[in-house]
Order: sequence, then structure tokens, then C-alpha cells
Amino acid sequence: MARKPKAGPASDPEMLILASLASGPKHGYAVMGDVEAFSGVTMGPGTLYTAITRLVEKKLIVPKASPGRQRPYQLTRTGARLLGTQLNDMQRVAAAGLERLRTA
Amino acid sequence: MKLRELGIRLLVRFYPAAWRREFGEEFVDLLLRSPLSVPVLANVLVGAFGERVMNLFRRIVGGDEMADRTFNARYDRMAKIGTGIAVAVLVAVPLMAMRAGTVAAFVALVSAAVIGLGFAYSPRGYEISGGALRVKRLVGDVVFPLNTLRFVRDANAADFWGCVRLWGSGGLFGYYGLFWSKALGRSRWYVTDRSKAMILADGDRVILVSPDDREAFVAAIPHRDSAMTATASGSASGVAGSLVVGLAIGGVTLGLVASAMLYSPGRPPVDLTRDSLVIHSRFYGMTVLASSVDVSGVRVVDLQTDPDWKPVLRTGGFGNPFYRAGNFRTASGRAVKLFTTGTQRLLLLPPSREDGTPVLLDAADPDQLAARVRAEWSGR
Repeated sequence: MARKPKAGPASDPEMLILASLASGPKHGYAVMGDVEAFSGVTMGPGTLYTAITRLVEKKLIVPKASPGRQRPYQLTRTGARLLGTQLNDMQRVAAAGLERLRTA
Repeated sequence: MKLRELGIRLLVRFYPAAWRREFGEEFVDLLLRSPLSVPVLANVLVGAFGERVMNLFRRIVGGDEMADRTFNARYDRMAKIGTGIAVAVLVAVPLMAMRAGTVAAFVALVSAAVIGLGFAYSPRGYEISGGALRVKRLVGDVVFPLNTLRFVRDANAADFWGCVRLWGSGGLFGYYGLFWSKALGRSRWYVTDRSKAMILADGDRVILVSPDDREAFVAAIPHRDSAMTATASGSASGVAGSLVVGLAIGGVTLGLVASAMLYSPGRPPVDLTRDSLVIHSRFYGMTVLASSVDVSGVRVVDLQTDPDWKPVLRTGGFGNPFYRAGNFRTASGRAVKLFTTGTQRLLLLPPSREDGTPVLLDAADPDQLAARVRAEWSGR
């Protein structure tokens, strides 16, 4: 059953898909399983493909030719760059926030 | 197809068609692998609703990536002029034929069919999605797979040298159908603007399209490599000149059709003698022997007051709204020999034998001719 993603930037479907594809091309079903495994977020099929559609439109990911019905998607250079920037920002914010929590 | 897959495919139909073409098959496959619980179904429906909203937004605003994959097919000046003239002729002919009664309906039907079919089969635009080029038409899209594409390039003058249209339209609502040229061989055209014509070829087929934005069109082709594309020079000016042959053939054909529908040599002259009446019809002349006519029945029929004699079907000879000569059937089903320019009052020469064929003849003064026939042939 699809579980509502946790709130916050770390559960943003587009970000999760980009992070999943960072390890290599995957088709939709594999992305769904991978995201659930590394983030604990279960995306519904509608959510997954809405996010994939937006990412393809933004040219952050591209479908690869495939003989089967499932097309694997891979990160584009722009997608990888954006993911890196976003994750670094998140890391910086997370580190600052955690540090402040410790010292408060 | 199993019931589950059928249900899933129906569910996916909630998504817009353009989206389904791009993602539909893999989405169906994903849903086939997923448990279909109520939350999953709701999630899919919410996604479909979102795509519908996005689709509507794209149509209103345009300009995003999805919209960039759709290309307009705009008419060039020659297509606009050709279409305007052809439609004007096809509308004018039935209007001019109004006085010919039932024939006008047939002419109007043919004209409407030509205009309707011409428009329905004309390219309305192009779309690249799901690894294929779709030529949008009212009667259904033409799909050209792009995964086996050998090359795509601008058309040039050499491609169109000695071009001949084998089938289709050479100007009415664009240039589409089957064409042949020495450089391209047989090619299928879905072109509306010759100056923007592009050639796409795979192992079997050569097709021509004319997207409004050729650069974006080439950029939207998936998995293309640089060797696949090439730009030829001088296409805009060359195409126009080389297509003159095709347009000329189309124009001549249209002219011949219009002439055949409008031509009338006028009332056929007649020579009346003691023994016969010779009808000098250009297409269907004949001699009526006095012995074959029931002289006592010779009279003038008015087709308005005597509609049984109204010719409704041509079984042989020539016929257009303005001139008919040959074998016809009347409204009562009787076979007649008819010679008329479309007037209502005709001279009737009934046969003397039961198995003979009556003659209906248009004359400047049918009453006078009837009197002359009776006077000439009575008492023989």
C-alpha cells in the first residue's frame, strides 16, 4: 500500500528519484523499491510517475531505449549537478541545525 | 488480455493521451506488478487528475517541454491560394447546378466529399512522443517509428526535381499522399509548407513533413546522432520551383473536372424529314425513325406537372447539371433517350412498339416542333 511520504525536503518525490538514479539507470518499479529501501518512503505509482514526468520535462532524467515495456531512466548531467547542489545544501542545513540543537 | 490488465488499462485512460503515449505502457506494467489497493487506486487517480490539469495549463500557456514536442503544420502561400480556389470552385459548382434539381444534390455531395476528405486527411500538426513521430490528422494519426530512423534532413531542390504526385493532394489543404521523384523514389508526404519540408527515412519508408520549427523538431527526435542529421541548402527556393509540375497536374485535373461539370454544347440541332428525326447531339447523336414513333402520342411534357418523366438516373451517355444526352431512367423507372440542357418542357416521342424507348428532346419551341412532327409523320 502506498504510504504518504514524510513531510520535508528529504521526502520530496523528485529528490528521492534523483537520489535513486544516482547509482545508475533504473526503471520505475526499481526506483520505487530502491526509494523505499534507502529512505523508508513508499511512493504510490501516481506520485512516482508524476515526479518522473516532471523530471523528464525538466531534462533532469532521460528515458533510455529498452526492448521491454519498462524503460530505464538515467540522470542527465544537469540532473546530477542539481542533485549534488541540493544534497550539499541539505547537508549544510542539516549540519547547522543539528549543531544548534546540540548546543541549545 | 486478462481482466486485471484490462482494468488497469481503463484506469490509465484517465491520464491525457499525450502522457499515455509517452509513459502509458511502462505505467501499465508498473501497475501490473503492484498490489491494487484503494489507496493505490486513489493515488493513480490523483496523478491522472494532476496530469489533466497540467495538460490544460500547457494548452493555455504552452512553452514547456511537453508542448515543445508538438509542432504546428502551417500552410504556405501556395497551399492557402490553392485551397481557397479549390474550395471556391467546389462550393460554386453545386450552387450553379441548383437549377438542375436532383443532379445538384449529387454534385453538392461530391463537392462536400472532396472538401471533407481533403481536410480530414490533411496533416494538422506533428508530435514526437513515445519514440515515434505522429502526424496528426482528423481521420487518425500516422505513426512513424523513430527508433529505426536512418536520417533526417531538410529537403532541397534536387529532392523534388521531376516530382510527380501519384496519389493525394497537391495543394488542397496541403501536399500529402504518395509522390515520386528521381532523388527520393516513392515518398509519403505530410507537408503543408514546402519551404519547411524535411525528409525522414528509415529502411523502408521515406516521409516528408513540414514542422513550423525545424530546429526544435530535430532536437526533439530521441537518440539522434549528428550523422543522422544534415542540412541542405537552398531548400526554400528550390522546392517551390520543382513542385510546379505537381501543382500543374493538380490544377489541370481540377480544371478538367470543373469543365466536365459545367460544359454544355447547348440544345442539339435536329433535322426533321418525312421519315426521320436526326438529333445532332455532340456526345450521343441518334436518328429517330418515324416508323418507330407513336405519332398520336407525340406531345410536350412539363417535368414540373408531370414528374413521372423526370430523369433521375443516367445509365449511359453524358450528363452534368447543364447538359444530358443518352440513356436515362425516369422517376417512374422507365428507360428513355434524353437530350436536354436542363429545361422543364421537353418534346416526348413515344415508341410505337411496347418494347421501344421513348425520346425526350429539348427544343427551343417544343410545342412548335411537336406540331411539325405530327404534321410531317401523320398519315404515313
